[in-house]
Amino acid sequence: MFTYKLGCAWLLVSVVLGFQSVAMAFSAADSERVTFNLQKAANLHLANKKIWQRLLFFDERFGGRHKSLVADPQYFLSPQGRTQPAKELEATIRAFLNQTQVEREGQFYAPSCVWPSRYAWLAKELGFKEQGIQAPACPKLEEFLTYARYGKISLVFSNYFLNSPASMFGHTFFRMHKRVDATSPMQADLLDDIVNFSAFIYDMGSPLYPLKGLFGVYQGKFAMVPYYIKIQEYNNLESRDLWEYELKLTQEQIDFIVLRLWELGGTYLKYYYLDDNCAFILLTLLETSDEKLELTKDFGLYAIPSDTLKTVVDKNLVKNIVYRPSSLSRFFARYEQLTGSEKAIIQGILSAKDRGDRVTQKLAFFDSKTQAHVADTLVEFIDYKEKNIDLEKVGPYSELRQKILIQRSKNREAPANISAFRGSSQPELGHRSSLYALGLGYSTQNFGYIDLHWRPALHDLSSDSAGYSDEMAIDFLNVDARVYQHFFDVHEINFIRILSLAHERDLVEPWAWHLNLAYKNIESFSIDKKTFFFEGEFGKDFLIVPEQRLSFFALVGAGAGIFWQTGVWLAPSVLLGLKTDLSAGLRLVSDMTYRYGLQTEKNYAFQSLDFRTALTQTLKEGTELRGLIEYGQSSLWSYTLSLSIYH
Amino acid sequence: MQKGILAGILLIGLSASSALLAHEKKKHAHYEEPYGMAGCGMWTYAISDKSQGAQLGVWALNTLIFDGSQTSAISTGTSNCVAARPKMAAVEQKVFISANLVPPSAEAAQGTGETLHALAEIFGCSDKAGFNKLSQKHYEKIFKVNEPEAVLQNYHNVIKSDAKIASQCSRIS
Repeated sequence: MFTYKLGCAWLLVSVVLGFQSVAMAFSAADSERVTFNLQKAANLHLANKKIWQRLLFFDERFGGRHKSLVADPQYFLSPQGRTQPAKELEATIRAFLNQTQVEREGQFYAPSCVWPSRYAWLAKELGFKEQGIQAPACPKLEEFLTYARYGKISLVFSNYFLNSPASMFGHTFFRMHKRVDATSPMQADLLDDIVNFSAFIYDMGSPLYPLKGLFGVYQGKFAMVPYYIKIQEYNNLESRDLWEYELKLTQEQIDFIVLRLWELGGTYLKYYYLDDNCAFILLTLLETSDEKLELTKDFGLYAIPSDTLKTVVDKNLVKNIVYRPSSLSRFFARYEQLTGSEKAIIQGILSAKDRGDRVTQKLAFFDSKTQAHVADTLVEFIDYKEKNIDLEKVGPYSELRQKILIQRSKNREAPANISAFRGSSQPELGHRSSLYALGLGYSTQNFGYIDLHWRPALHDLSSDSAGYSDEMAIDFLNVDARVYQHFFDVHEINFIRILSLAHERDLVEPWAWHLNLAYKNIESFSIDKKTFFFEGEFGKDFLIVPEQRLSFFALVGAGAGIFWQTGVWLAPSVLLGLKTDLSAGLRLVSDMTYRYGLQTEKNYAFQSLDFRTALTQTLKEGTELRGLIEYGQSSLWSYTLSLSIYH
Repeated sequence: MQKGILAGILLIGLSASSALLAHEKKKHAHYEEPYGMAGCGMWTYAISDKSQGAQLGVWALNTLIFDGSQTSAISTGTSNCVAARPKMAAVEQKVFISANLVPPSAEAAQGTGETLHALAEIFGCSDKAGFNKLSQKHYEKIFKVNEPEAVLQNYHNVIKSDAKIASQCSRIS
């Protein structure tokens, strides 16, 4: 035993001595200056410092997975740079002090010009100034920095738009507010820049595009474009409200982020639709500006934009919130301010489908204020309907629009003030994306059970709608399982379920629609009733009592599925339901699906009726109590009471 | 036979759902256009949604402004969409008008608005109220033809025709 231990000790000593001599052999080739700085870096444990790890884009999730998110080998100076921060630090220090030029697209640059944020940080930590080490000139970087002078950064979130449940996930980008001073006195919000991280997709038409996005085939890159481009895209083309969250950052932090952007502009990360996506990457960029910021380590497998927004707000990083209405919101705002007769004028114009001249003739009869309000509202409606972002496209209303505007330009009346209107609720108030619920229940057929419910994303009609739409639902991998006394049952899985129940509002008349890819019990004549199926319906939602948000919906469609043992079925379906707020925080959603189908193999016709009523009470933020009554699945009633947490 | 049908349902369901999700996500993912800066999310969804007008715009931007020097930047990782940003500042007027034709037209007719304000800044006009009034007064002349180059030229002409305003607009030649 003793000999063995001693043997190991000797082995260890000789190995260490061996390494040291190898290390010393290498360092003999380095200059004194390099050796000094490498030693200092080792003493200060710089390779382990958070900022260094973040400069290399090392992932801090899963307890510090040591691999950089950057997929581009050119981003690293050491061949093992992507996985070994210490090696990368060593190679970086050497490169900066030896100034061995690097090649980029046929030109050669000093490394400190390619990685200025690494240089800035190392220069400070190692005291380059005190050592008399000077950085070489970087003309291209200087040119960039002369332009990129920003005084503030906001995180901008694009909210959902009408009839598009998937848009509830949102999207985030940075707004870089240009500094206003003597050298650049120009100030206009639209002329600020934005920084966006997104996939660069070269084959948009390909059917494999969504899968490629999921599996990281595309490159994710940073881009800096004018804010007005994004405003056109989100506010006007897609009709999404924009919410700006001004961040509490010092000028030093902002300047450092700008250096980071220069470094990252020419490189790429793997773009994973679910995982390292836009929102998450923006947070990692923020984290490099301050060691104390911890924004990303709590995110697991995926980071949804709305969750990252909540993180920034919860960490007290937000100074100010600004709302920017979409084209549809601006139309609603104007229309809802009109008097009854003004609304009637617009309805008349649109239903008569008059030519532009006829319309301006009609309008000329009214006073200038009425004319202005009607014209402004009508133009807003046209721009929304035609998704007008540039006039080169000619739509059915183009001529009318031009005639109205010519008339409007002769009217000095100012447009109505719509700044108080909000087309959506503040997105940071929204619940977190994953749902976990535990409940107890009783079924008439199988008696008592424990109910387990999990949903990674995102929102259903029973969820608290603050920050979300109360008319849309999207479930991704919604799983509900029940543990009975003697067996375990997968009650329902919705792989993807999308429901949009937009109702008519102010001349806008959307269709309601529903898609569901699921696994559950359905009544049939066969012994096994579990089925895997796909179903789709469309119809209308009718708002009956606006104050209670009471609406009734009716949709028709069809589904097709398979019972494991008894084969394929096809069935037209009808979905009816209602939803309402009973009081603040208490919601009722009740729906019923009736199917009359044909089981193809046995040629049986069957009927099925699913009925659900959910009564949900929000307790405190992110927690709900839900009472669920279900009927269906061979005349089975079940009653569940569960507690849900959004995390 | 059953497995085939099952696979069929699965495929249809997944395709339909993911196509819808992808349709939404498409708006976040930006097109890689083989035009350098324009491939950096500059025109994004707008391009695909439009027909020749948009393609023409991209081509015009590229050949007339960037001297056709943009090589194809399809996922070679060589296009730098951050470093390229300042280059646009030199042609801000052309780019702005190309990207924004609708908002300024409505705002010019109303005599006020954010896009109008931005346009005034781009023209270097310090008298914002005067610029707004001028835009409203000459709305029909400026927005006679819905084409960016024409609108830009018309704006220049209208400003130059008003000596007082022109004297306060530093970027009108």
